[in-house]
Amino acid sequence: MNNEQPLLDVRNLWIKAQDQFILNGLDLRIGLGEVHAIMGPNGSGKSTLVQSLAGHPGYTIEKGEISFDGEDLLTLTPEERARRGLFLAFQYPVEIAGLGNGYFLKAAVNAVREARGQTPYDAVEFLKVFRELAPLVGLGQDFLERGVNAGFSGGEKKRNEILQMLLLEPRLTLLDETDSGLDVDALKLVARGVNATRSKDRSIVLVTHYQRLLDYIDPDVVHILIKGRIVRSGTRELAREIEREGYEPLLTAMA
Amino acid sequence: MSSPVESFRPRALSGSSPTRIRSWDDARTHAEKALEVHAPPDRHDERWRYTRAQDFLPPLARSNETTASAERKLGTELTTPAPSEEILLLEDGKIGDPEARRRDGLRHGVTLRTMREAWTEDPALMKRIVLSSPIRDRYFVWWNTAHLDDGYVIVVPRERPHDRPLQILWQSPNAVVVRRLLLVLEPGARLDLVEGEAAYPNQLRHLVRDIHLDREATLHHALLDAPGVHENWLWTTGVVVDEGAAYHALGVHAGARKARHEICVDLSGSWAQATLDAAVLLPSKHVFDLQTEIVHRADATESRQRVHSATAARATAVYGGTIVVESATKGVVAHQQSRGLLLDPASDINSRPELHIRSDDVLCTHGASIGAIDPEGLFYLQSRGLNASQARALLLRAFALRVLETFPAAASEVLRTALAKRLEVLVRLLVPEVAL
Ligand SMILES: Nc1ncnc2c1ncn2[C@@H]1O[C@H](COP(=O)(O)OP(=O)(O)O)[C@@H](O)[C@H]1O
Ligand SMILES: [Mg+2]
Repeated sequence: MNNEQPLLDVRNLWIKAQDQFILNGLDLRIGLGEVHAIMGPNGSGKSTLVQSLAGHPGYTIEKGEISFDGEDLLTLTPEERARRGLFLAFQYPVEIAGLGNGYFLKAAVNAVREARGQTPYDAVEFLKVFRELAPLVGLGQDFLERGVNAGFSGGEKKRNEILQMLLLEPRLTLLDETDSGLDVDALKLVARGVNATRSKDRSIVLVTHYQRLLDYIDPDVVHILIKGRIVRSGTRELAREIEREGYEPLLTAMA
Repeated sequence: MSSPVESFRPRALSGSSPTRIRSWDDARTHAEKALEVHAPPDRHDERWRYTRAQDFLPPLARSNETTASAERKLGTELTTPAPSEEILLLEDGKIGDPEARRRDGLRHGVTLRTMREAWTEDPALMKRIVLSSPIRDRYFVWWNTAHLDDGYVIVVPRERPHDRPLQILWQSPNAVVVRRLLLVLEPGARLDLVEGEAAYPNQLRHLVRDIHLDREATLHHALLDAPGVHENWLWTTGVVVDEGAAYHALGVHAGARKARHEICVDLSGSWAQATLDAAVLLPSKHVFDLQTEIVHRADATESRQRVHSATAARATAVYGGTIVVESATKGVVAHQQSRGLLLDPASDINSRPELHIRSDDVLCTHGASIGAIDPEGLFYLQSRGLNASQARALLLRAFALRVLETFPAAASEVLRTALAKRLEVLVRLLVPEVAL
């Protein structure tokens, strides 16, 4: 990890949903250009963490600080976070029947571009960019006409999330179990999309249940999240250890 | 509680039976007598709980304001013709231009006559329509007949090419407007009809439509109202669908001070079909009351209703959907679905399905849901950089446009475009009220 100011700095984060603590004093720092994996058993608070980072209104921050690129993230609305370059690929992307995917993607990319002082894409420019990016995740132009995630297969929804990431060019991408429910081919497509965005000024957080995704995307750091806290951090080797032994030894040690 | 279906049955009028009607004057006399015998519907009738008969009887309380050019524009833009389209413009209750009557819209054997002319030239046709009309015994249909100068009769033959929609724009600045349209599609005929009404402030408008679809005929019907908070209007539509014929209607409604559409469809021949869909997008304080009734009288008849209603502050959307399946019918399919989107907690959406199923061999489904804008959808869009009001606007647009998605694909592009444009206009009208 480099010593400069991290892109994301989470300190002592306590989060409640419906009167229950889900995160209990979580710390996390993501440096610029780094790829981190967060692993943990079901229900340990992984989605709560990333959804809260994106500004989901259903969680109450009881305590703690989050800075993103030196700015206090907690004072920003979800759209302000997105416009500053934070992107969450949802574990369960929301279906919006009746809203055309093309219409939605263009509105989103232009909202972000305008906020960055870039000129919005017109229809022709948008189509050109779409045609460049969509094949990376194996999506065709017919997909522009369909409703947002409506009636999509699990794999299509995940690929749509990655396509949005490619279009919005975020500085910090949070991928929430983007690998789950994918067959190997779809997994490779998703990994290809993610690897295409890897660069020294973009950071990525991979939330995953299995280490399978890490065969295709090589992380700099691996964290283990259990019961709302990061209990261990390490290298890829930590992920392999979990793969071999499961979370049991860690849970036993905590008890 | 008396069933609403029962109350539609003809009641004997002393000395005046509809079977004796032989002319337009007979029809009026009959209607005048009926009005003497019958009282207007009252609130004890479930279907008249949100709009009242008094809302549609003159004189209406009027303010002195007479201009609302914005409203006027909205009513007219929707039928601005493209050169290739066929236009029938009914203006001031008359056909705008006698030349246009021949030139536009009425080629290929289509006939347009006044009701007076039609009673003289083709009394058999008129008699058939009067006797089979499912709305002939409604108070406001008698009222319409009694107060009407004259109406229009359009007969569409099979030869008419169906890829050319007919457009009707009703337009009159009069304080009280009474309109009547009889539309007959001959066996095998197909028509796409885009029908709109222009709004003038403080108007009271009555429109009665009698639609008869002969065997194997198909009508796609786009119904577009004109938003205006200072008017009241009432549409009463009766549709008879003969064997193998299909009626597909999609209404796009902004409502008015008091607006109401009663639509009654008789699926009288086997394999007859009906679609009654509506997108109801009500700006603040508008009222729209939709009362449908579909009667399955024959085997293998199918109906589908889908109503999406969105309401801004203090608006009221009402949907009463009645399905009747007559006994001894086989293989009937009837679906009804209504969804409500409360854009403001201080608005009102009422949905009331009513099913009278008298046969065992029926597939019937109905469902209703009402809710506010989905917070997960909102968050998803915001997380993509759209602000809360942009996100709400997109969700509203999606909600409205969904009715178009399931409208039969056979409808012509012109008709679909007219509907889509209208939906976009109404969504834009609502957006400022959606953005908190
Ligand atoms: N909105 C919520 N309201 C109440 N409980 C929640 C909510 N979101 C998550 N939880 C609970 O918090 C815990 C962590 O959930 P989650 O963050 O989804 O875990 P993970 O993504 O690691 O599987 C679970 O016990 C879950 O039931
Ligand atoms: Mg999760």
